[in-house]
Amino acid sequence: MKKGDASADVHTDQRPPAGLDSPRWRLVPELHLRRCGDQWVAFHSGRGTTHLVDAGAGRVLACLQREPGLDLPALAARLGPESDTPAGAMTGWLAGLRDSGLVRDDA
Amino acid sequence: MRVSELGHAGLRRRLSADGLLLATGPFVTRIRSRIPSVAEGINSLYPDCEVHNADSFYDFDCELRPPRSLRRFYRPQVVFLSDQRVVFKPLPRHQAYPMLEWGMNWCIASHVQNRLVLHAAALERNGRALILPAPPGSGKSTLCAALASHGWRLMTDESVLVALDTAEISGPARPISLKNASINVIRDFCSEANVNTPVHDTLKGTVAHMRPPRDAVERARQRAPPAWVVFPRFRPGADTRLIDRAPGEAFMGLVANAFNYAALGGRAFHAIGDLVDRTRAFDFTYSRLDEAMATFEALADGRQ
Repeated sequence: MKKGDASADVHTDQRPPAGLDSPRWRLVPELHLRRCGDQWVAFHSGRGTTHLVDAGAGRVLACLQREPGLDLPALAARLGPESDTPAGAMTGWLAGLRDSGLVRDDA
Repeated sequence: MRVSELGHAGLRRRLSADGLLLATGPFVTRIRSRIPSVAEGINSLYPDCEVHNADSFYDFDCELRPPRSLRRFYRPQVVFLSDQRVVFKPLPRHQAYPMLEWGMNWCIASHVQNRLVLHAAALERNGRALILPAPPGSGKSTLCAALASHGWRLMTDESVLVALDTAEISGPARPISLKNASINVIRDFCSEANVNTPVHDTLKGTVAHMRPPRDAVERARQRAPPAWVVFPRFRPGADTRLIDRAPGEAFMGLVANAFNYAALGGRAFHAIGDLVDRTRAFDFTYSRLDEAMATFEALADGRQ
């Protein structure tokens, strides 16, 4: 009996990858998102995968769910007062979320 | 009518003919078999369960019979069929009764689509449900059997049913599966436990089953809201420890123990989210059942 496929992706890489400062970001289609205490969980119904996401990356996902198509400055502006997030951390989260297949950019 | 009212001869007649329609919680299973140990097991472990008429609806269809091969003449075997299809490889005939229990578990895990099904035990106390998700070998069933004998209502040892809309908990209140050393541990710890004759040399070692308490069977259709999710782990010689588990980690632990998560998709994801939102989650390590009982007593009383 195959049970649920779960993977824990806690995005902590804060290195700013190149070329992430201008694209507009949005969640991939078929993504479900829930807050879970201080963390977040995301489910991609197309792939059937579940991801555990830390608080910072989870706030990015929630923000993009509310307002798809934000670029990095706009995202930072939305999250800045609430999280005091440095831009380097933001780009690291976006890169990690993109690598996990949870967000995509329009570039 | 209950199983105990059929008498042993009546039970064997039903099993040999159109089948015994056995009600366990929300499910009715049709069971057919001419193998004596199957009748003996049902007679011993399901006396308080209701029996439905042969022309009633049923959820699962199970049959245990010898395989149709020449091998049966020199090494007796048994096969399990669900909806007339062989599901597992044949086993030695003396394992027919455990095979029925494993087959009934398989039916729930494979066919139920209107609820989330967790590989976990569940018990109820003061109208609130405790869920014990764990892989085999974690001491889940031993803990479940001890709790069921110490003031907690057994909901299930194996298949927790989570309502997709309310996250309420229910279970089929079937016998508790005990393995190897835990058989005598429970016989010693729970003086009133009714454990059937052990079956040796199975893939899981020696196995026996504990009869569910009558009250648990009679209340098997009563749901309860979830209150606690506890991930148990038996470690010989370990101190008793109950430690908070972060909700996100609890979520992932439940996903890993959900049988039909992939099939239900987003509905299962949100059902687990609702479950986590409504509960406190813990990791529990234990080696002494008396200390474990005290820990869960304190949890139920709000002292943890």
